[in-house]
Amino acid sequence: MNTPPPLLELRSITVEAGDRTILQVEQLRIERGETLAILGANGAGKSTLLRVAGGLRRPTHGSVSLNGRTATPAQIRQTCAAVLQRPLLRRGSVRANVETGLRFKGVPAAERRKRATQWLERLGLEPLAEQAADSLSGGEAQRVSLARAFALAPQLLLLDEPFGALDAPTRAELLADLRDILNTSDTATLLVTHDRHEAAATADRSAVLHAGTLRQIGPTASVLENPEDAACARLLGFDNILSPAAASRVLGRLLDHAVAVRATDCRLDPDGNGAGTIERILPFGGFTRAIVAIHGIRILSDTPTPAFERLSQLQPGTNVDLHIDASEARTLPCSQPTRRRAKTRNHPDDRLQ
Amino acid sequence: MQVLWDAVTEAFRLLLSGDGETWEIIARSLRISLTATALALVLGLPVSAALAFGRFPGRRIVLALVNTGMGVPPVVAGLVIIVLLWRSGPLGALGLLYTPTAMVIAQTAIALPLVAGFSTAALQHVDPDFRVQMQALGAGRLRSLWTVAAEARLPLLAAGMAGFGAVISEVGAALMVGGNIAGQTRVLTTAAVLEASKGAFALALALGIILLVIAFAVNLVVTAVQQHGRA
Amino acid sequence: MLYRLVQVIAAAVLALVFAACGDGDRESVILATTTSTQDSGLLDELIPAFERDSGLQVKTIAVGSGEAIELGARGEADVVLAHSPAAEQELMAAGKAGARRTVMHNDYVVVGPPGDPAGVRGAQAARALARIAKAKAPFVSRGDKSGTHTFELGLWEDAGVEPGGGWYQESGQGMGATLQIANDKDAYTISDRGTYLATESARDLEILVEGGGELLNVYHVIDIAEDAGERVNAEGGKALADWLVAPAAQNAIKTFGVEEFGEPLFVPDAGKTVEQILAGA
Repeated sequence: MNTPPPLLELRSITVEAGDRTILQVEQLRIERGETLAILGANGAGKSTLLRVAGGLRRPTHGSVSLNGRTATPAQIRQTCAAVLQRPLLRRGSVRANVETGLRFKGVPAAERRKRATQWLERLGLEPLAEQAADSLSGGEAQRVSLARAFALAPQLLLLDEPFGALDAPTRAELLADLRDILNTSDTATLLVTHDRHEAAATADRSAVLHAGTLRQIGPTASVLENPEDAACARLLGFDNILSPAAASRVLGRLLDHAVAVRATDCRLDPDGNGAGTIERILPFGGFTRAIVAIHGIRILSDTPTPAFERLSQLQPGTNVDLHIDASEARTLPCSQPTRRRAKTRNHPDDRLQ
Repeated sequence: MQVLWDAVTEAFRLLLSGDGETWEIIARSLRISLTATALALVLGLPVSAALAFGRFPGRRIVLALVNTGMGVPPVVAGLVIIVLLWRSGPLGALGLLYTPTAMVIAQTAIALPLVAGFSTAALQHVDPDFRVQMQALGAGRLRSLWTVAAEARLPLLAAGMAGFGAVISEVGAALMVGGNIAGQTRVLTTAAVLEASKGAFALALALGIILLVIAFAVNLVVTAVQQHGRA
Repeated sequence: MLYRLVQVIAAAVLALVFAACGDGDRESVILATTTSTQDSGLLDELIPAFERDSGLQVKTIAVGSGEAIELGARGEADVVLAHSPAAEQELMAAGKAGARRTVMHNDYVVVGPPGDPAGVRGAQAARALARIAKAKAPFVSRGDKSGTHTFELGLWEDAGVEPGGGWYQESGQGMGATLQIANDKDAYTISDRGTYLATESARDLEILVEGGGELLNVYHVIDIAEDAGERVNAEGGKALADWLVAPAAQNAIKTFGVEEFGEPLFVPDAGKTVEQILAGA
């Protein structure tokens, strides 16, 4: 029993709002220095979880401990720093904003300045240091928000969808910078997001939060690739979720579990036996999505647009064959075989490559 | 029109000639109304913080009371205060009736709902997550409230100005609880009413003009502070 | 933490209140009086002198006679200076007052436009009012239950007229303002002589009816007894009442206004009864 206690541990946490339970977590540990991503859809309870972990919201039941000791929200807040979804900056200069947390903690002015300068440089904000915070773009403001949190050198950094409101290029750039910083610091990080790519880019471990409960937790790669049920699969970007019966028909072998497969792993073959019919074609820019009806089941198939255009004259009504790579099809062990027919999704709300 | 012109010249004569009584009345008006405004801020800001951020039983009722209070005529406030301060009233032992203190109390009662109401709106206008974010950076409860107030300082100043504007210009309560006693509780508004009742309309109007000049000057100072540092 | 905040706020409130006070520590006397004594400027002359002599601080509350007497009756004032005989006698009958003493008198005058459309010049007062009513000439009444208003209503009664209609207007304001309104409307009104003389904006109006016991306006001072309320400063009230009827104040009353208006506004009457005043008038 020599293993040190985790940095932060949530035990038997329940959060109720009105007469609804919005979060129920039996146990969640965050170890020193690791990055843990919590993946969840909107309304899954991600922000609530983050706020409980950061001492920003008192759980209805349960406790949070720091280094093995039960801690009050105020004690937790002394250890953590958080970056919320929207960058909430104070009036004043960028530099003053980066110094905000240090000011709260009574750090002397010289030290404040030094640490602020360091993080302004690190996040490429130096040229903006003396600008008014309310003149920044969304991406710049979120950078300031990150610098402000990092300047505190917290033991635990809490990030609540910090990239949620940013456009794709800004998001990618900031995500890369964040990954570099996290890789070289010993700050533990709890990142909540609905985007598996953010988790893949930053997190050592990931967990899936669905309807207020944790469903899967483990090394990020393993969690992302092995959804245990339809809800997790959907969140992790598996576009096609097939009931056992549907899966049996599409894959041509008898299965007693539901199956999830990404649209990118369903390849169109216009020269095959033509068992399927294209119902719709949806150009998404980088890729083109086809909705194919096969054996009475709708399957989404994504093809990179240049490749799609090389396929001869596909249009709604064209008969095609679908090749599904069996090694990419995931059986969902926790889905209930007897449940109502699983549906495929006709309208994507998740970005795909 | 002659009266208007007389009033303007009289106002400037009173101000510029250093008329002792006029300046004394101006000083008294400012002292009473600024004190009442300051008191209303000291009492009203915690109330508005509780209303903006607290969730307690009766919150809606208090909010409704505050909003109703914003429209209470000064005379009504004056009546309530005078009944309390009467010798035969519950606070009669304090002997405060017909003193500047009584006027401060009445004007505080008038300004309080205004200050509390406008301040609550000002604080609620700040993103509710702002305070959470400040706490997430290590600010304690009061410190985080303070940051929200600092963020809302422009509308909070406006709340203070609304309170001051209401009390410096009200006459009903000042007359009732102050008694308009020369050298003790006579302020610009009550002096103007007295002169008007004597039929000295030019002088009354001159006092009114002085009142406007004073209110304008105070608001100018506050506005300058408010807009300071705004590009 | 919250407790400390409450403490800080309480301290700030108290500090502000006390800073604002500055209401001397001197014992104070509340004088309830009529607006006419204040509007004439007489009290501005008398009260500071009394404060010097006695060391007491006087809070002069100028209201209508009716309200002044009511304040005395409820013990909210320590001494009352009024000119509303009927109400004063009621106060005395209630047994909550010390003595009722005459201080001074002036007289009421009926004033109106020099053209005198109702032809009241030189008439006896009640008859004059009857003519105004008959001619439906404009008349401005105080309408504020003041001593003057009460007196005016009594005169209408004597004249056998129930005033009303478009020609009879109530200003609801003090004597000075009422005079100014009458001046602007070329209307008749009734005023005490002092205020009429002191009101410059009523220069277009002329005195049309004066003299005669009927128009006598006698001011009485009444000190309030401790029975009226537990916090009555009966001693202070009596001190002011005594002072008002003493020679120094009486002399001041005699000369008040002579310089400015060429005639005194009030006649000192200390020690006289109303009958003696009538006999003298």
